[in-house]
This record gives sequence, structure tokens and C-alpha cells, in this order.
Amino acid sequence: MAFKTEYQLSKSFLLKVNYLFNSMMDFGLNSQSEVRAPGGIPDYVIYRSIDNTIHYLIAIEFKLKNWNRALKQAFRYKNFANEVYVILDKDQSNSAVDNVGLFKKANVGLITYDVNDEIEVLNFPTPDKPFSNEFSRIVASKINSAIVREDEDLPFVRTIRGGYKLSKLREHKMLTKQ
Amino acid sequence: MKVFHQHGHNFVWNLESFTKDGVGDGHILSPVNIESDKISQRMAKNIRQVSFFDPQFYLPNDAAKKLETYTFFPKNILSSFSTEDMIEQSHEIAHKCLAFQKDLNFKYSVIPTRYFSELPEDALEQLTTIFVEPFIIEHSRINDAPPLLLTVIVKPIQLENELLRSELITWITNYPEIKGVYLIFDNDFYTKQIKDPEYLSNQLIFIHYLRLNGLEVHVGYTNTEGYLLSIADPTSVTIGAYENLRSFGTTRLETRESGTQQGPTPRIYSGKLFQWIPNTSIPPLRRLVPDWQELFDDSPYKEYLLNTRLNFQRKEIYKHYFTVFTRQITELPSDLTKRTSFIIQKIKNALENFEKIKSYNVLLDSDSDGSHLPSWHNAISMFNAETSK
Repeated sequence: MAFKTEYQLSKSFLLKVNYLFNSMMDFGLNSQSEVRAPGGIPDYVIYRSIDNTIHYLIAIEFKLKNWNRALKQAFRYKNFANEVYVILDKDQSNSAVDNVGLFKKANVGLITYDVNDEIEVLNFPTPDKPFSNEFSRIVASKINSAIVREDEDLPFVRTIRGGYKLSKLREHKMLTKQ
Repeated sequence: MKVFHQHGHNFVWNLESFTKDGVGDGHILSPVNIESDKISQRMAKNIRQVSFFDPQFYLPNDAAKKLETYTFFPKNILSSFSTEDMIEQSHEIAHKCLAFQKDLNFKYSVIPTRYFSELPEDALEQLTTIFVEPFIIEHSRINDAPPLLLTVIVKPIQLENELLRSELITWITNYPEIKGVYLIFDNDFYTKQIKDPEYLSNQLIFIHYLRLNGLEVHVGYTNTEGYLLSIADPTSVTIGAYENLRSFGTTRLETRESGTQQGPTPRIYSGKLFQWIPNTSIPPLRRLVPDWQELFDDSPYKEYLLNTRLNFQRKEIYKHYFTVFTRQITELPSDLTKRTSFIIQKIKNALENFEKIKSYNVLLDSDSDGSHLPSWHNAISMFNAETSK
């Protein structure tokens, strides 16, 4: 059985992710849905914030179908994110799975999820610096509801260290095949 | 082939491009954007002499924005818009409109048209009675009036359907008093580039037949496909700043309540790709593609555009496009056979550039990639097949 709407897919997945976060509170994670960013509105962002500055950001795009469009959308989020993911309904993901090579080349994560709560990670992207300082600042100011000055340092655009702790999330049993 | 600036909002950028950068051969004025008494102040006589005025009667019952300052605009004269009323006043409207164009020393006398969202069966009859005949008669009554251009809006069905197409061409070519056509292709594509090869080849065929009949053909509201259309040898194509000046629509001619609108993504024109690249694709190009700046043609604005935070209101975006696109047109061979081969090669080069971008794992969406270029190529083949019959 497939998800009927994108909302249903995202809501269900995020419930599961929140459970994951609760068990990993020490990572100082925050999240926000539908952040208006240059080039699109990611359905969900997860970020690590220290002293009101963002140290690491993951952008997520949910799609029921049209994985190719989702891939291109997610790629645009690499302007301001350290990792980006496309999350698809497993029942409608065959074509995307066949093309996982394109996700790997573009360094975009691919996850499938189904109504039975099964998560399968087909591609973990390599943590990377966002492509653009400018767009990162814009997104940071949206998230923090504050104006980020031109010259203000934003650690997450300079380093991928923040990814170290977050990368531990990948080892969580929910994200790995048992 | 000439390039005219298609005026609209912020037409001052076009004027600056023309006077300071020497870009373009003239202007097509947009009265919805300029008051009638400001034209001579904003444009010197020598510029008006190489330009023409589009009366913009497309929606005759809506004198939106600055159209209300033109005494000959139908809404400002007519009390109702019944066909009878329009016919009754048509000579007065025609005379005033033509005298206005002559007094301002424009290059042509433009016969306006109206826009039909759905094409009525008697569309051409209506246009003949209300516009064409009164304008031709009144034109003959004005001494030394500049030559006539007939505005023609071509609906998609009039391109697709051979019968309607020949009916329209016959109608246009029926008036020896007319020197040429101000041609506007109305389409309802939802993509930023036209990707239908049949539509493109029909555009080429339409222009070709008008040219065979000895008419000047000035194609308005063109985007990058203006380059492709040069294969059919139109007299001119246009360069316009905003998207609504590179694809015809009546929205900008309608009275609307003002409200805040989300601005479009700023895009930079690349002549080497025949595409507008969104500013959100610049960072990955910069990071991943060696010599990425080479994808963009040189202009006095290139450096600024590739290194500055942009918003779609930056005039440099459009002045860069005006400069680059006009240069591309200027470089076209005058011999049409050589021009066709030249354009085919340029399309191939652009496709190779897109392949290069892809090979460095930069993803472009369907409004920024090269997916329109195979259609250009196919349109040329279809046009050649049709015209060599």
C-alpha cells in the first residue's frame, strides 16, 4: 500500500525521525519545516545550532513520485545545506532506485519509506560545505529569524566538522538494515 | 536582421542600452508604461525615427495604467464596446492614432489589433472593419504619414491548422498599402523556453511566407528563440527585459489591484547555452566546473553578474542579455543557407556545453537545461523539409 499524499508521507516519516531525535538529544538538533530558501522551499531542515549560529544543516525533500524533479530540487538545496536527501514513498520508488547512480554522482541522499515504517537508505551523501555562503546566510537568517550580517561568521559554511556528530546518526539501527 | 528593444516596465534600461552601449536598432514603445506627453522628453527625435509605437489596443476596454493618457485609446473615446460603437468611432480613433505616430516622427504607422482569448469565427472580419480599413483610409488622408505596419496576433491554432494559417496569410497579404507586419505569436506554453518543434517550425514557415510576399516582418515579444527564427529571415526580432516582454500575454495590460508579489528567480543569459541560468545554479557551477565563467559571454556586466548578490530587479541582468543576444544576431551570416548551417553548429556547441556541465555533476532543472535545443534542431529540419517541397 502506498502513501496517498506527500503530507501523509512526510508526517509519518517525521514522527519516526522525531523519535530518533529524542533518543539523541545531546546532538543539539533542531528542525523546521518549509523554510523559504533561495531556489526552493525544502520540506524539512534539520540543523545543529550553537550560540545562534548554524553549524550543520540537512535539507529534505519528500516526494511521492517524480524522483527526477526531486533530485534537481534537492541539488539546489546544496547551495546552503551540508547534506540533502530525497525521501520517496517506497511503493513508487522503483525508477529512482534503478537510477541511484545519479543520486550518488550528484551527492544527494536517497531514502525510501513505506507505510509499514520501513526506512531504507539507498545513498548517504558525503557531508560537504554548502556551495554558497550568500545563500547559507539567507537561510540561516530565515531559521534564526534574525538578520545575519554580511561579515558575520557562519561556522557551517566554513567547516563540515558539525557533520561528525550528526554522522553518528547514520549508525542508528533505524537507518541501517538489520 | 534588426533587433528592436521591446519596451515595458523600466524601459529606461533599454534606452540606456541603446544610447550608452550602442545595442539594438530601435525601440517598440509601450504606452501602458509611458504617458503620452512624456515620449518626446524621454526619447530624442533621432531615436524615435528608428522606432515604432505599439498602440496596445489589445484590451480596448481597459485603459490600464498610462494608457488613459492617450486620447485615441478606445476606452477613452467609446461609451460602450458594442461592434456598432466601435465601427462608428473607428475612423476618429484611426486618424488620431496615426497623427500621433506621425507627429512624433516614428518610423512606421502601426495599425493596432485587439486580443481574442478565444478566436471567434469572424475575427478577421471584425479586425478588418474596426482597424484595418479605417486605418488604411485615414492613413491616405495624412500627408507623409510613415509606412503602415499591421499588428497581427497569431494564435496557436492559426499556426497548426493549415487552413486557418493560409486564411490568415491571405488576409495579411491582401492589403498592398501595408509595408509590413508587427507579428506577435500568442502561445500558452508553461515552460520558459518553447520546446515544441512543430510549433517552432510553423513559426518559421509563417514568417517565411510573409517574407515571400514582400512584407517586412517584425516579430515582437521574442525570447531566445528569436535567434532560431532568424532562419526565416524576419526583418527584426526583439529583446525585452522581463519575461512578460519575451513572451506575449495581456496580464501586464490589465488593470489590477496592486499587491505584493514574489519576484522571480534572477537569471543570467548565456549565449553559449541559449539559456537563462538561475542565480541558484551559479554556486555549483563555480564550485564544480573548471572555467565555468567561460560559459557566459563577455559583456560590460558579466563580471558584476557572476560575483554579486542578485535580485531580478538588477538592470545589469537585462543589459547583459541585450548586449550578448544582439551580438549573436549581428554575427549571423547574411546568406540564409550559411546562416542555417551556422545556427545548427551553434546549437551543437550549446548542447556540448550542457553535456560538459552535466559531466561535472551539476544538475539544472528543465527551465534552465538544454532540453529546448533538440527541438530547435528538429524545427530547422522540419522547416527545411517544408520549404524545399
